[in-house]
Amino acid sequence: MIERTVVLVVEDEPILRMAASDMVEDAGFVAIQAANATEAVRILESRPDIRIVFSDIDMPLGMDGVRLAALIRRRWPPIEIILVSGHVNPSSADLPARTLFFPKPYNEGRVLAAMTKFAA
Amino acid sequence: MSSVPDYVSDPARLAALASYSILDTVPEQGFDDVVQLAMLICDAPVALVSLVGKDKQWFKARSGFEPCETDLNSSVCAHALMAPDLLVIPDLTADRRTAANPLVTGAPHIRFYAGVPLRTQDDQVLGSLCVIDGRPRPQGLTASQAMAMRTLGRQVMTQLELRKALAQQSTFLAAQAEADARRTGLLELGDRLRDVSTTGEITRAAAEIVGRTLGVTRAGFGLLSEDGEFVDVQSDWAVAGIPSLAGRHHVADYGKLADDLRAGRTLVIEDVMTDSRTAANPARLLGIGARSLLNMVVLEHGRPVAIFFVHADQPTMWSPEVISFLRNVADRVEMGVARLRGEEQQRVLNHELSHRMKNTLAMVQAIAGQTLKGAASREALDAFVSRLHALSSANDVLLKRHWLAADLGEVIRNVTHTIQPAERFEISGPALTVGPRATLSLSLLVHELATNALKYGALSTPGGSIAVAWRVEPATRQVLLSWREQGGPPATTPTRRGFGSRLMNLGLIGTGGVELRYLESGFEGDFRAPLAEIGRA
Repeated sequence: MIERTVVLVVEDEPILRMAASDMVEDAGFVAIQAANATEAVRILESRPDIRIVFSDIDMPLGMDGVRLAALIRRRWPPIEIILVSGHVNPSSADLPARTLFFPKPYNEGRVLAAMTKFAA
Repeated sequence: MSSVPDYVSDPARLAALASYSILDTVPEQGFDDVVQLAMLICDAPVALVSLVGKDKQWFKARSGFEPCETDLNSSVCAHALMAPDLLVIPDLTADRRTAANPLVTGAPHIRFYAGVPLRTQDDQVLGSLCVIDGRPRPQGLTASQAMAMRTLGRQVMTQLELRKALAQQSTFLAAQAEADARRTGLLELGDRLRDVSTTGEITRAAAEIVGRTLGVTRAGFGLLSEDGEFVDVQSDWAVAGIPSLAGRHHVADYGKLADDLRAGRTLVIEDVMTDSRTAANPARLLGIGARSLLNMVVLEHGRPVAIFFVHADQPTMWSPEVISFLRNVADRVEMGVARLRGEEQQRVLNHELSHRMKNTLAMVQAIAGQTLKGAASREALDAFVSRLHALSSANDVLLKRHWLAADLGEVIRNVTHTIQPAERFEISGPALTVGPRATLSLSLLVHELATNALKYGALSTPGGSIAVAWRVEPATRQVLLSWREQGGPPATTPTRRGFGSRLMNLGLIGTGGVELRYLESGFEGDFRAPLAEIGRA
């Protein structure tokens, strides 16, 4: 059996987190949920099988998504990162290397296409 | 014994004399000529234009007499001030007013005096035109000599009046030029402030204009600390060779200035060497080239927040006009800063609102997805999400223009490009402003047209393309937007009137004006709406 790609979904808004997890699962990936960056880091430390992190940028408590992405790029360089936000597109200068950005509300088809490409 | 008449020190007479600004000036041809004529006509060795001051007599013109001034004890002219007309003293040794005069008792032993009072129109006597001889003249002057002296005396007065009028004229012209410069300065400031986008640029522009306009050494803007003890100067303007004051300054280092600043009083110091607030230790101010200074306090909600300072390296009389000019500049700077702050707050607020709205749209998308899962077809859910994204992209376009307006072309490109790559569209038309309302309805319309084209029309086959063009029809002032598909399958009139087709029939601004054609060559649509409606907020 082929091992399914594991995606960590980081989103502080429960409904959006639920929807994102469903989207990921429906596309045939394994979704793991984190409600903030601190939780995400704890999960990343215990789950070396995570291939992709799909995270919101604007999380009022603790680290925001951009800083989380920078930390992941430093500590877990192979992990692919996808960021989303309701704010206008951040300049690519703010984002770590190999980080994709989608504005909210995002187009699920495009996000999934990017994940599939990362998983291949 | 003093033989000087009291009238000599009369304040009104001295004020009149001062108004001519003549004492201690250089010789002038007009006065010298009169003196020469008086000598010739009276056949005298000495002639003088003598002006009698508070404690000396001073000669504007002199011939045959060495000193340019004498004290009043030596003055015979002082007595001429009292004379109703020409004063003639045939023998000075025989007259009680002059017998003890040092110039009579000693060298040069003068004996004869004839002087005509220099009388103003206000009947004040400034001095005299006189001739002097070393020998007594018992006969005095001849009648024609006396008449000539009176005439020449009036001539001297005419010269004095002319001189005064000229000086007043040039003072007036200089004041006029300064007023013009201040007016121009304010206009220039207004122009410059319209184009700047940071507080620093505003204060730099104001400092430079004030510095140049007033011809001072330095001008600048500094923020006052909460307690009024410190001034932070970000940037200032100074003439070449004068150092900038950028940095933090302790107000107390420069004198007793803090009380005035805290109270919001304009600080006017003509000379730091003599002003009671700074005279005790002016070294610090002199060290920065500030012999004279003017500090205008900028208040915000009644609290002093900043000062506008002007320094001059000479003692300077700051006129009320200059102070009010600076007040005007400070007011304009304040308004400029307030405008920038308002714009910045507006920008932050717009971004925050947009962020929240997009988060809400994301929530709506998630809730609809969860609610309708299994209940609705995948196709219906996709159509819903796609329309939601069209709304969201209209929101993006508006945010870029601070929610005031969008450009028609930008709205169309923004929607079509989320559906198909740009090369499938040929988009052309003049720049046209679309109000926030029309931006939303136009986005939904274009979205329906493009998704239809993708499903059934020109975008459903690889070779198809779409031309989108708009123009303003001059006769009707209507905007015509045309949508032409080509290279796709033949278009067929839809049999079902779904939400998509109803959205299309709402047109550009939701009120119709729609003409749809389903042709062999492909779908075509013409959409019309009044230009005024399109731009409405």
